[in-house]
Formats: sequence, C-alpha cells, structure tokens
Amino acid sequence: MSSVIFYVHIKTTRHIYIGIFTKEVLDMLEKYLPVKLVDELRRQPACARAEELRMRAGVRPSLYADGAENFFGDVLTRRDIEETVHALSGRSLSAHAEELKNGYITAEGGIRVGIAGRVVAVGGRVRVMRDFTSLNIRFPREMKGIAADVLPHILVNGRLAATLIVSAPQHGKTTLMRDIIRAVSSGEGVQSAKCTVVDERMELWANGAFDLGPRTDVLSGCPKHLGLAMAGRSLSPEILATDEIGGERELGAVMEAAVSGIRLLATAHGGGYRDIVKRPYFAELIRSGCIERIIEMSETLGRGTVERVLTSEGSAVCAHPFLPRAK
Amino acid sequence: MTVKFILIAVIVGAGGALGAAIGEGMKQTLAKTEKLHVGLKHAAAAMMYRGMTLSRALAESGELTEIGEYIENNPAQSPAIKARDVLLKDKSVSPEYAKTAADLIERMSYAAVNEDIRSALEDYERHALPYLEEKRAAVNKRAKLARTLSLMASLTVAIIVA
Repeated sequence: MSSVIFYVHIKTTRHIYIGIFTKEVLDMLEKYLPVKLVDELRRQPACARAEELRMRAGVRPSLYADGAENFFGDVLTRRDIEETVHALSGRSLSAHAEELKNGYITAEGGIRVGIAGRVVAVGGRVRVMRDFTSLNIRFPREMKGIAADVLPHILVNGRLAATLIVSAPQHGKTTLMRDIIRAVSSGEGVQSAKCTVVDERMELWANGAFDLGPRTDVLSGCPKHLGLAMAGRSLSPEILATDEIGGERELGAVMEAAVSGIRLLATAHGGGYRDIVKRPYFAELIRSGCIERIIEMSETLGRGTVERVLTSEGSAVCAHPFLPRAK
Repeated sequence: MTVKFILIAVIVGAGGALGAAIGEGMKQTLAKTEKLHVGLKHAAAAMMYRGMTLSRALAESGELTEIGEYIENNPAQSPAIKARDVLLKDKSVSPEYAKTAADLIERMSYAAVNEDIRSALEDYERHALPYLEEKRAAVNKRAKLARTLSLMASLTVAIIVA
C-alpha cells in the first residue's frame, strides 16, 4: 500500500512540475498557433500535462497526455498548418532551411516541432520541404534533480563515465541528459567537469531556456559531425554531450574525441542494449571503449523510467527499474 | 550705382537659393524611397548570406525597423499587410512603390530557400528599378525647372528694380 501511495505521490509531483512548465510553453506558443486552437487548447483538462500536440490538415488537433490521445476542437485546414509553420519560423522559412530538410523546426524556448509535408529531393538528397500538412509540437521539459538518482550508477572513480542513454522516442532521454549535463557541470553528486554540448537541434539548451550549469559551452545549431570535431579542437571539454547520435558522419568525430580522452554523453533511439549492439555504429563505439555505461529507459513506471543501467559488456550496474524524481 | 548693384545681386542670389531649396525638397521625397530600396536589398542579402530571419534583417536595415519589430512580436500576422500599412502611411512613399515593397517582403517571408529570395528580389527590381529611374529623372527635371524659373523670376525683379 505504502509503495502505491509513494508512486502516486511521485506521479503527482512530477505532473504538477510538468504542468507549470507546460503553461509557460503554451504562453510562448500562443503567438504562433491559430487563435481558435489556443482557446480550445486551454480548455482541455489534459492541457497542463501535455506531452505532444498534433496538428494535421483535415483532422481535429490532438493532445497526448498521460499516455492517452485526446482529439479536440475544430478540424484544421491546410492553411492553418502552413500559417503555423510560417509563424514558428518567424516568417523566415529560409532561415530554417537546414532544419526543415531534417523535418523539424526549433521554435522559441527550445520547442521542437516535427513537420511533414511535400519533400522535394534532388539527387537523393532533400532539398526543401513545402506544402506542410502535419505538425508535431513536443513540449520540452526541465526536471531539475532527476540526474541525482541516476548518477551513482554511471560514475567511475567519482567521475561521469562515457554514457549512452537509449530508449524509444518520447521516453525522456533528452530531459534526463539535460539534467545530467547540469549536474556534472555544477558538480552536484559528481566531480565537476567542463562540458561542451553540440546542440544541433537547439533543443538541449534552447538559447538559454534550460540551465546546463556553469561549466557548459554550447555549440548551438551546429551539425553534430562538425560540432564534435570543433569542440575537441577548441573548447577542451572533459564531457562532450550530444543528442541522438547514430549517423555515420559523426562516428569518426566521436572516436577521435574518445581517443583524446574526452568522455561522451549521448542519447540514441533504440529498444535497449540488445538492439544497439546489433547496430554496427554502436557496436564499433562500444568495442573501441567510447561508451562505458548504457542507460535503458522505458515507460514502465511512467515516462522517464530508468529501466536498467549496464556496462559496455552488458552486465547490470542497476537492474531494477526506477522513476527519477525532480528535486 | 553700387547700392543698385548690391540690390540686384541680393535678389538674384535669393532667387537662386530659393530655386535650389525647392529642388532639394523634391529630391528629399525621392531619397526616402531610395533608402527603402537600399534597405530592402540589404535585408534580402542578410537573409540569403547571413541566414538572418526576415524580422531581424528588416530591423537592421535601418529604414524598415518598425516592420521588423512587428513581425518579431506578431509572427502569426501577415508581414505584407503590416508593410503596406506602414509604407502607405508615409506620404513620401508612393502607393505604387509601397505595394511593390510589400510584395517583396511577403515573398521573402514565404521563401523556403535562397533561390526563392533571389527570385523575389529580381521580380521586385524589375518593377522598382524602372520606377525609381523614372522618378529620379522626373524629380531632376522638375528641380532643374524650379531652379531656372526661380532664377528667371529673380532676374526679372532685379531688372525692374534696377
């Protein structure tokens, strides 16, 4: 019984925290979204706990919260989607051309918006995306203190080990990594270290919207393969952090950094350790010692559950799932 | 004799100065449009080569700050409508040029790649350059006429006085 109460308490605390932040995000988004949608959105009971807002042409918008999807309001038109994308780009799609080629746009406050539409590809490469039809607005969250529960499992001699956070999308990888960076940079529960964040999607730091600690340098909007090399050459980091690795182009830069004694902190999409060791990219990183700890995340105890923490050989450092708490 | 000579010189001089002032006034009206033209070209270049957003590029162009700030604060509103309002409110800018400039701003806001901006700029110049050239020639002609008429009038007065 007590464990049930404890669990409910954790969930409630977390939701209140997320709710406050979601309201700020909504205030920020207000000037970009169609007026009719904002009014409807604020009336939704699940609004305060929203994780994602989906907008699709010809369909009613939907809100993901507490693992459920709620459709609400009026059907959106193609023009609504187009106008929202233009507004999110600050009326300058060309300034976001590179992001659009990768299917997203980062708006104010690090709000990442996934975009679908007509892709114009030339010579096998995406040249531009036009005629937008869907949007996926992901509400970013800052949960200060969640790293404290995880850090004891990813330390080697009091210092942060080279760590890879693995999970399926929407399980809180970025939120956890953001707090680990903040904790390491601030020296909270771990020996402090200089961190460089290669924030290609401008989601981790979001132009200062999130606290990444006092010893963190951020290369904002920089492609990972270039940023990793640049950071190693000029910023002398001890920890090199980046989101969603897995591209062949950055493999060389990651290996080069590891050889120079820089420890990697990264996230990757995947089902877990068993999945990633089958992928040549990660197998190579593990084999060459670029990764010492692997954090598997899931939703078994709620979003952001740390399922297991493993060494690079696959032996468990922590085998019991737990839900890190915001302090 | 000396007094008469001084009087003639003063009248002719004043007439010439008045003519020059009228001509300058006419040129000032054109100068505002030319500054807008240069500002828009700078803004387009800033977007293409420095990856600036439209609002920032306009704000830094010097002449279109109000429109840039408006876009920054109201991204969901149409930049073209605001641009048209602002430019039409300015009496020194002709409605024809205001429309051409607003069209360019609108196309720059919708441009997905640099080629779109370049193409919008080319279309804008196709309309704006002949217009500016024509205006420049007309203003120069009128200014010259004003100077000549003023000088002739003052000479006539001077002769009568003499």
